[in-house]
Amino acid sequence: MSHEQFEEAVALYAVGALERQERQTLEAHLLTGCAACHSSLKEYRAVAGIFPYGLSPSKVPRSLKLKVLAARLPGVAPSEGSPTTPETRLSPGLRIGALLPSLLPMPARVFSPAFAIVLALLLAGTASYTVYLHLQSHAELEQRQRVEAALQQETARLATLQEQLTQQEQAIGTLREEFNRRIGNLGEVQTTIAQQDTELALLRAELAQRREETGNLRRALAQRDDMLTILRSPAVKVISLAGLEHAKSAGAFLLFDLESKKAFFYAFNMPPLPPGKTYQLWAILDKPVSAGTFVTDPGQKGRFIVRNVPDLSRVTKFAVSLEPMGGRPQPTGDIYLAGEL
Amino acid sequence: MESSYGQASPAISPELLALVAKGDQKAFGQLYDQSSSLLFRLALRVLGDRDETAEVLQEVYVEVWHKVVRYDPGRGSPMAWLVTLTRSRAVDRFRARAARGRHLTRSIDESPAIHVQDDGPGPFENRAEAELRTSVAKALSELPEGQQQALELAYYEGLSHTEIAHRLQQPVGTIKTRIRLGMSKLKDALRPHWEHV
Repeated sequence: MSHEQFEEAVALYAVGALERQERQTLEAHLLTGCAACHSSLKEYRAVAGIFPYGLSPSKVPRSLKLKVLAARLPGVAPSEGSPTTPETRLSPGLRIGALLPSLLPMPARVFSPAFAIVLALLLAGTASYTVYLHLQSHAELEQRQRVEAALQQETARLATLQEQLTQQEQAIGTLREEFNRRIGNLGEVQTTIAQQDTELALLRAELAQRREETGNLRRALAQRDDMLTILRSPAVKVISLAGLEHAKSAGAFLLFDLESKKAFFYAFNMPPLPPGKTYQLWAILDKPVSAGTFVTDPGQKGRFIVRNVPDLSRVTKFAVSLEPMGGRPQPTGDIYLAGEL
Repeated sequence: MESSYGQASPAISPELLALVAKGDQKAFGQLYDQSSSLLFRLALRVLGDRDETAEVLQEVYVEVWHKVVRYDPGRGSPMAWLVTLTRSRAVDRFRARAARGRHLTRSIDESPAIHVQDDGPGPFENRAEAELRTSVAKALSELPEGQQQALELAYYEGLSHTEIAHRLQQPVGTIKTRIRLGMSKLKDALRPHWEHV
C-alpha cells in the first residue's frame, strides 16, 4: 500500500471497517512510527469516540455499579441497597472475587451453616496458601535482587577492567610505535656512521697517499735543488761511467761539486731491476766504499744525490753493481757500470 | 432499582485515570460515575438488550481496573479509550450471539439510532451532555443517508466495508468512499467537541 492508501485507510480503521488483512497491514505501518498516520488516527479515533454522545440517554441499572465493584474487589458484595464506600487502596490485579464470583456471599441468597463453614475453611486455606506464596515470592524476589546487584557489581568491575586493559593496550601500542620509530632512527644513524666511517677511511687513505706523494715531491724537490746547486756551482767535476757487459747501452755521469762536497749521479738505459735487487754505486779507493743505492724509473733512468763523497784525490774509479735490496758493505754482484777519474 | 444514571461530564481527566491505576477505589467509583451513562447507551445501542449490556459493561469495568496501567495518553483521551474498549466488547458479544444463530434483537434497519432532538436535557443528563448529544446527532443526521448508514453499520454492528457492501448491495469502493467522506465531514463539523472530549 502507498502512503496515500494508508491515510485513506485510517478513517475506516477508526470505525472498525477494515478487513483483517488491511487492518494488520495498517497496524504494521503504524508500528514504523509514521507521524502523519498516527496524528490522523488520533483525530479520527476522537471523532468516533463521540459517536455515542449522539445516542439518547438511557437509565443505567443501579445494581450495575455494585456488581462492577464486587466483580473487581474481594469481599465486596453487590448489594442493591448498600452503597459501598471503600477506603482502602488496592493495586489493580486479579482478585479472589473475580476468580470465584459465585462463592461470594449474595444477600439475596440463603445458605446453610455447613456451607458457611466449608466456605470459611476454603477461604482460610486459600488465604494461607496466598500468604505462603507471597512469602515465597518475596524471598525469591530478595534473592533475585541480591543476585542482580552482585551481577551489576561484577559487570561494572568487568567494564572497569576492560577499560583499563584497553588503555594499557593503547599505551603499549604507543610505546611500540615509539620503539619502532627509534629503532628506525638508530638504523639510519648506524648507516650514516658506517658511510662516514667508509668516507673517513677513504679520506685517510687519500691523505696517506697525498702525504706519500708530498714526501716524494719534497724529496724530488730537494734532489732538484741539490742538482741545481751542483749545476750552478763553478767548481764542478764531471765523471762518466760506461756500461759493461751486462749493460752495454747504459751509461752514467757523476757531477761532483768541489765546494759542497756533494755529487749528482744520473744513470740511463739501465737494465730493469730484478725483484729484490738494487743498484749500488761504489767509489774505489784502496778498497770499494759505498756511495749509495738507487733504483730505476719506468724510463730505465736512475738518479740520486751523493752527500758523502770520499776524497776524490784518493778515488781511482767509480762502479755500479747489482746488489740485494738495501745494499751491501762490499760489492757482491755483477758490475754494470764503471768509470775512471 | 434503576435509578443510578451517573453524573456524567463529557471529559474524564487523565489524572483520575492515574489515580485508578494506583489502586484508588474512590477514583474508580468516580470514573464509573462519569462514564457509565455514555458507555451503557453505547453498548445498548450495539446489543439492544439491557441485561446483556449490563453484563458487557461489568466485564468492561473489570478490564479497565486491570488494564488501566496500559492506557496510553498519546493514543487518545481517557473517554475515547473507554468508548473504544466498550464498543469492541459489545461488538464481540453481538457477533458471538449472531454466530450462535440467535436472532438479533434489533437491526439498524429496524431502529435507527439517531434521534435529533433539541428538546433540552432529558431526565438522565445535564445540559452540557444534552448540548453535545444534540450537536453529534445533528452532524450525523446531516450526512447523506448512504454515508450515515455505512458509518453506523461499521461502528455499531462491527461490519467491515466488504460486509457492508454485501449488506447494502453496493460496490466495496463506494462503501469505502462513503465512510471516508462521512468521517471527514464529521471531523470538521464536530471539531470543537472531539478536540475537548
